[in-house]
Amino acid sequence: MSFIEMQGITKIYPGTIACNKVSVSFDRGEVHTLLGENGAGKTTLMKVLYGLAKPDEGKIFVNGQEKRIDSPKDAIEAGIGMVHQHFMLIPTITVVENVILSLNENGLFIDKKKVAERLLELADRYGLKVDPYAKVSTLTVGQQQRVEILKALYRNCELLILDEPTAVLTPQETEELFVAVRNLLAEDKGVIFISHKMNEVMEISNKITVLHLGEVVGSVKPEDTDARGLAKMMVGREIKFEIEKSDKPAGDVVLDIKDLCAKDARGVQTVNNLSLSVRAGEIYGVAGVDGNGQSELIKSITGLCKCTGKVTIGDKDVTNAHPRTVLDCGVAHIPEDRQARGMIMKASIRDNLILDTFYNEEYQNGPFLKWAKLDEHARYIVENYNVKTPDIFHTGDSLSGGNQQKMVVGRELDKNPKLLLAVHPVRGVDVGATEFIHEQIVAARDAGCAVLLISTELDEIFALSDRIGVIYEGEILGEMDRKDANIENIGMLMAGNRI
Amino acid sequence: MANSVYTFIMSMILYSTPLLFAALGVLIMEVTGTVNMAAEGIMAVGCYVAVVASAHFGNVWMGALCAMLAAAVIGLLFGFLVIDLQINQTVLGIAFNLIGAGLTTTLNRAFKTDAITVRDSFAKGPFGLPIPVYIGFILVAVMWVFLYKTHTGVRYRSVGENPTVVESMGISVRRLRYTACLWGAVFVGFGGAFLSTGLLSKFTENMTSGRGFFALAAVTFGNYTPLGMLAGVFVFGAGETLSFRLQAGGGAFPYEAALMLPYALVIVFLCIFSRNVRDPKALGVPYKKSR
Repeated sequence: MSFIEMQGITKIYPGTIACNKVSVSFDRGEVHTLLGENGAGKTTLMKVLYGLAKPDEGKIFVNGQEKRIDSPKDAIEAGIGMVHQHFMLIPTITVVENVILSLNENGLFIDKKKVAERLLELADRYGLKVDPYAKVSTLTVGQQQRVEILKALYRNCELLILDEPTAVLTPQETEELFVAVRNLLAEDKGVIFISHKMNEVMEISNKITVLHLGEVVGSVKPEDTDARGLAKMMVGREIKFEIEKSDKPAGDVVLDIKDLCAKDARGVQTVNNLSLSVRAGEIYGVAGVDGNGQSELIKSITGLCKCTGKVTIGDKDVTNAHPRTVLDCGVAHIPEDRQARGMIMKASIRDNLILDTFYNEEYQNGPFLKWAKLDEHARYIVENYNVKTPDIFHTGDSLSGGNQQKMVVGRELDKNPKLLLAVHPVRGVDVGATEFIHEQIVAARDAGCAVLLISTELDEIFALSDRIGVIYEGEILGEMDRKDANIENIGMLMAGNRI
Repeated sequence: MANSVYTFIMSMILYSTPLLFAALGVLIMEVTGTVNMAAEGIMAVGCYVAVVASAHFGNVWMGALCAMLAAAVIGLLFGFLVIDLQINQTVLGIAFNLIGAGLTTTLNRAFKTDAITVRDSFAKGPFGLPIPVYIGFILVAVMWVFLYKTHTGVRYRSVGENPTVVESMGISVRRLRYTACLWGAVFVGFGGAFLSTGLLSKFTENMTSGRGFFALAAVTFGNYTPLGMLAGVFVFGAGETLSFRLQAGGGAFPYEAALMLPYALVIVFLCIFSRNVRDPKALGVPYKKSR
């Protein structure tokens, strides 16, 4: 008998069936992964289990007994805990105060000491170290996630739902998370894991259930399948992991950076005498662990932060140039944080798509804009880049993460750029959309665009790049052709060892 | 010299007290995410009601109680408009201020309220300051304990930051914000009562002279903490006391400049010290329950 059994769950939202008669069960002592594209119904299913959405049909059994779960409170009582993708933490108060808030106890005074002691004990037991008296805003994303897990454990959770927990983590933090997950299994607790990253899924899961368009495609054990097989189950067709590129030789240097130095917002120098150049028709992949100066490198090129050294695009010196000047050189930019830098969440899809083109001559009619033409332009991008939306007047935040990214990619590539800056272009995006975005980037390259690709995912760097440079503490520690690169030599460089 | 410093501090504390109560009221509302731009208007009503009721009952405490009741009604109305009807809090606050000033002025002219002198006064405590001054200080301490040491306090601070999280814990955002509006208005109303019946024993038109807004400034200056707020209140109290001294001293100091002093002081202090202030994230944002 399974610990939790969901039977025939159907949830209908206006216009879509998010879950269609989904039956799945979760056991103690195992990691059960839910895999599926954006919109496959994983999150909806978890919302139903956690009492955040009311199913139209279906039953939930806990230890074989039917149980109504109408609110998170019921779910917590049944021993279910959830770590949301967007953390449910108050940043301005301390860790222990956040835990106290979540306990929702009666009584007048809080007892920080008692709660902190139990927190430390739990932290110790599961390897989730965190300072109970630290303000949450001072913690790293990884530490905040630990607080979320501790919050669930504090309330005696037996089955922990982790909704895309690794999307925001560095590889080291992911490893630490997996250690904690294994500690949970050792205490016979269950984990539901939601992720897009195949290698992680294969590493941590005991059982994988694949969802597609709101229905269960099937359940497999990781030892009986591989990444390719899972991808096929997810998307319903074969996914190409290698992307074909034309073997046209690279052209002239488009982006040339010499002795670049830049500081981050805290005033710490994160880019140190960095030099690199990217040619037309080539993808230059910058590999490296997050936080080694990638953000400031891109901000220096795009004019978003001050720098010293020299940045040249084509034959124009754009060191510390105005961002508009840089854009006018034919630069397209897929930024690392799409929701903060790539789009305006509350603006319509149309407005998002014309953000950096509406001021062009062709859309001007005296002091007025040619709105019909702008609408047409936006519709063209939506269609060509497969942005799934009922129409272009819905707000940007109505799109799923993958479709938001396709919108940004479409807007940027439609400009036929000379230089594309692609920073984590498929972060938080499912396999189907990943394949599409990668194909688009390679198509731009084949058309003669110079591409600077920044990614922390080695698979992505290897799949796309013509040349690879490894960034470490703000400098390019080593550079090589794709054919000379392998996991070992790139990994050594990423860890800071010169070869 | 020592003696004049002593009297200066004493009068600074005394003149700060109406503002202190108003600031306490603003603080408790803003911590939960409701912008209290209405403080000036609520305070004006408090001033007026306190004088009328004190004269009627012959007791300043009864006057203060009536002022608080009137303020409570306004506070709940304000709460209803911003919490349930989700009207823009800044615009509504300005409307309340205009109504507060207009209503008290109109009533004053109709009933000649400014001719009333309240005969009763608040009893004095140690150092010769009226009892409400001490209540004000005790309330700062109580506010600190409340916000940082009680369950409700943690919820208050959290709801101003992210109401969605608080609601997801099964706690009613609406209830937290309503109680904050109620208590906030009551404090502001008492501040008004002490201004008219504690400091002057009478009502004059527009006697709040911007104290409701200074309360807002003091809360911001203090980065939404009770002790920081108290420091902000004293800045204004010191400026006001200094202004009185300069006006009374005659001499070369221009009268207009003396009047301006407390206002100028607050602006200067805000410019210097408020650069690192962090507003509650959900301040002024109406909360919509979603499901």
